[in-house]
Amino acid sequence: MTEQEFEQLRRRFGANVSLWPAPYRQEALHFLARTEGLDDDAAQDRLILQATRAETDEVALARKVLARINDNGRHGLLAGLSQSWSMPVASSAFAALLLLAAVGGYIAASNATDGLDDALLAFALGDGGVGDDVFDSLAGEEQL
Amino acid sequence: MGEAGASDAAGDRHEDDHLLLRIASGEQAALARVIERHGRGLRLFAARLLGGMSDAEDVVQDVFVAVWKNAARFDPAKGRATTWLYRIAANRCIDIRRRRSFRAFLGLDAMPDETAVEEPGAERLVGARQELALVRSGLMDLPERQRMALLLRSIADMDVAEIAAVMGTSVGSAEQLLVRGRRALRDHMASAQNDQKRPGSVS
Repeated sequence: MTEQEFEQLRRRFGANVSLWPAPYRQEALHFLARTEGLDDDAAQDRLILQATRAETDEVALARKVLARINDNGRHGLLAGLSQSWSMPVASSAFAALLLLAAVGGYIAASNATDGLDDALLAFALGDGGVGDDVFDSLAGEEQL
Repeated sequence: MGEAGASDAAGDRHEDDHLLLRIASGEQAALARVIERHGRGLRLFAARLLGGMSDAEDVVQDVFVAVWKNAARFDPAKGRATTWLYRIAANRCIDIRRRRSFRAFLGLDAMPDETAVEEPGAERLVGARQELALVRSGLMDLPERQRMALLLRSIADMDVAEIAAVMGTSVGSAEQLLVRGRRALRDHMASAQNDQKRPGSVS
């Protein structure tokens, strides 16, 4: 740790080094040379801490984390909206389609049945219609 | 820890607890402050536990996203905020290592020799740098739980009870992990230094 790094950390976390979060606290204490009389374990801890040192950027990290959170929030909101709306809308649309198909089918079937009923009735009574045409055509074929 | 140290620790704890309360109420500035305070420690911990900085970045982001989502579930009566943060990070690291092992088992990935990636010229380093390279390689040679205990002690400055809480084990087991880890690391370093002193060895 350099003098400049120590000053930056002092501005971030205050003058009382013992209140700083780990590992800044231990690094600062090492920098301030408060390491006299370390026992073997403490000396090893210090060595491990030095060995793990690497450049880190907490500002960039915070930016990425907040971007992820805000992104998740937007997607979560859209997903929530779509989840809350899509299922009922799809179900209602499908039900309406089934209803329309049923009504249309019933009407079409009713019309077809009426026409067939008329034709059968006319045939039974001997009136003109489909039945006469059929007999006329059959008679014509016999004459030939 | 003396009386002043104890009150300092209480003040430190109070700030983290207060920040988590603010996060639970949806304050992003409080999350940024927690990242400022603990982002570095968590990243160093994850990097050395996993053997590289690339996955550590993802782990630490995941930790803070989890903190944002679950801050309301944090109970200060059950433990310190830092213990909670490091526990999330430790579990995430374990997940990543298991996934790596599984992918390596399936032949999808080769298990990287992370120590070699991190320290390609370790043998050529001299003096203090060489000693630190030996510590890094020694750490990677330790069993995962011993390494985790040592890293929690040295990076997060945790006592045995806190290490046990993070690792979900008893205080006695955590103590054993620390003792064995320390001994194995010392043996590794002594052995490596003896090898280097031996005539004809490459250094």
